[in-house]
Amino acid sequence: MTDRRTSIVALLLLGMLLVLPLSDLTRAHVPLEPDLPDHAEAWWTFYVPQRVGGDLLAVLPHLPDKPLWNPKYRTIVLAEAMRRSAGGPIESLVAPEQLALLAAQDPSAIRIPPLYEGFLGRTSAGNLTLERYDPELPSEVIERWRAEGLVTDYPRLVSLVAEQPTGSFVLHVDEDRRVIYAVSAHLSEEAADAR
Amino acid sequence: MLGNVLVVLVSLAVGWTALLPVRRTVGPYAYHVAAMPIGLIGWAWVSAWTGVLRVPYGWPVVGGGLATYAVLVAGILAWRARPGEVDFDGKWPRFPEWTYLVALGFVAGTALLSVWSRASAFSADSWADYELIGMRLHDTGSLTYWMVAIRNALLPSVHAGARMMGADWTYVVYPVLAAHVAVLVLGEVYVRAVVRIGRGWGGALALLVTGLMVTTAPFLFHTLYVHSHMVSALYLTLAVVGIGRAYVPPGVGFRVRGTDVPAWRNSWLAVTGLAVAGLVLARPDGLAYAVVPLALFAARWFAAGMRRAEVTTLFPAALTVPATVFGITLARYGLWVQQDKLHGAHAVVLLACYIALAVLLAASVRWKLGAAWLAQDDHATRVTLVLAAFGFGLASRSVPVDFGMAMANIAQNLFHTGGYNSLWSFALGLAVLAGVFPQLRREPVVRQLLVAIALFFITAATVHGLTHVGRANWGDSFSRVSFHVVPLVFLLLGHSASTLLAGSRIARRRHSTIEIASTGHKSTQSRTGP
Repeated sequence: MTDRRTSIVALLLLGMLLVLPLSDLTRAHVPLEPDLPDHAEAWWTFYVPQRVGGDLLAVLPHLPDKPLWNPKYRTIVLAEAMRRSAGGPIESLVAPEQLALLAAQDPSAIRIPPLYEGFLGRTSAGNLTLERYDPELPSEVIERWRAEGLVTDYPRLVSLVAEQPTGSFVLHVDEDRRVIYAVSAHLSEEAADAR
Repeated sequence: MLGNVLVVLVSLAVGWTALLPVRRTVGPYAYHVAAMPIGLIGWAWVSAWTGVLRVPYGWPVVGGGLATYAVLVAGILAWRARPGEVDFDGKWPRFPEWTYLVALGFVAGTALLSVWSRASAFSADSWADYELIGMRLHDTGSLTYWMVAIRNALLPSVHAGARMMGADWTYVVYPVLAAHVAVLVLGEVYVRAVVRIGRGWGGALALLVTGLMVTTAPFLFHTLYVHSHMVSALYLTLAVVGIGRAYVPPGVGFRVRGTDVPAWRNSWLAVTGLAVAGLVLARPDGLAYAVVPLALFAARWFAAGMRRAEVTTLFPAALTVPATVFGITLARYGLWVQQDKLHGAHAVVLLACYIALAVLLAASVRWKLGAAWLAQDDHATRVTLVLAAFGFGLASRSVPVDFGMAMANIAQNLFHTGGYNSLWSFALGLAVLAGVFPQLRREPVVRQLLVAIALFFITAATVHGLTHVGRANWGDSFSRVSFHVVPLVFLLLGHSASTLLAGSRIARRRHSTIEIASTGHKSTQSRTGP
């Protein structure tokens, strides 16, 4: 009998404890806006899930905008653009020895950041070669490529230039150093010859 | 979409194959629940060998690797977990083959639901590490030391596998893992409750407990979060449940019928060992958390007859794949050093400690040094807890200033800023309740869960106290890591509630035929309810 009474008391106490998780449920609400709640009392303090499906590029716009991370975002967009053209891993990628040559000069232009070398290496299947060359493309060359429909634009001021699917690229930039162009190796050679 | 679903289904098939030798002894429920997570470990095995062979991910090498893994695990299980001691006319219990269709429907259905929802949650770790390391691994096949050091082998390999099959952003596997956690908790609470309070009450309780767990904010978040927490929670839960099933069988007919105790135990310990392997490979600090199930096993083992076969079943299952992954990485890169994550020396020392523990346990069968005392009154469990506390104390003295700050952040996050709402206050109250009331304290499964949760927190606090000062928000490492024991908290709730409901006679089985599994003999008991 004592055991039974003790069990009933313990059961009542357990029931009282259950009020805690049940009361949490009454506050259950995932914020619809992607901004995090700014107070710890909110039921949901985590990042808000996003409906991005299986697309890595769709993930990036939902990430917090941090100047430190912008080079990484931009590098991933660039890598994804080239990988989609290659239909898999990048076969060869040539980038200027000084990656800063691909970045905007204006230090206030944090939305046009340099590439992040670590990610360039990580995403290029070990096929990255750093070379000494002038990556700037004349405006008329870019305009001609655009007129021929060879340019595909991506977010974060990244564009891909290719006549057909390819896995070999050389990195270039426009004269203002705003847009980075991943140019197929074949077209890059042609542009160099034209200069 | 296809790659995301295929990586899950391929893992399920690999797990099914690997666990074939124990499918009858652990029963269809456990076999199917364990299959996908155990199959997932195969991807880490693949990456270990693509690095040696210097080939990128592709069907021939991945298919060969997964097949080798499945055969290796099945071989270990056939060798260790099925000792041929079955005594029911030389026949294994019938295994209902239609359950394969149910399991496939469950896994594929969950995966497709995730695809339909298109939802995932992510932080910098998700895209910068798991996805991009997976990309690099897919492209080159080379599992480098820095990959092992910062994210370990399992999840980047799964991402690489999904990428090979066409995925660009791997997210479906995480909700599928969460569904496995939910089913594991549901089944475990039900199986033990039904013995005490009957099917109706047991079913209602299991649904209530699982419903409460899956509607907590951290569970919902980690269901969608592309990170290591849901997978670690699953492996830890599976390991602890496995030890519980091995040493404290539910008692009701279920899968015990017709199977003798050694075969039953060895099979469950094999599943436990594989879950430990998953826990080790899921995160860079997974090697440290493996101490929880291994110490729990050691404590139970002393009190349960000290059969050497149990040691030589669990440890090979637990350590073969991790030792191969770390061994290959160490052979290729030497004793690597990585800032604030897993160093090569850590891996060597912890693996050596676990191997030494296995040798010590196996040797103690012969030497009997203090074994009789350890076997009495749960002394082994008490010694384990005291040793863990001692280790924690030593760690706190080695870096006193940062350690104190880390502890302050840990407490702050658990009870206030970590996003857990009232969960840890509730868990603390539950633990006190279970410690205070003898009805609960006496219950072996409840006691085992309390010890597992305590060991986990001591280990996690030691690891983080030594390596992270931490920060006061949900993104803090300890705050996220503490999610790994959330399923154990809800198991504790379920087992405590069913024990008290039975003790209070509010709910009790009316009439039952129970097989006493612990003796291996069939006997019939009748209990009459009010």
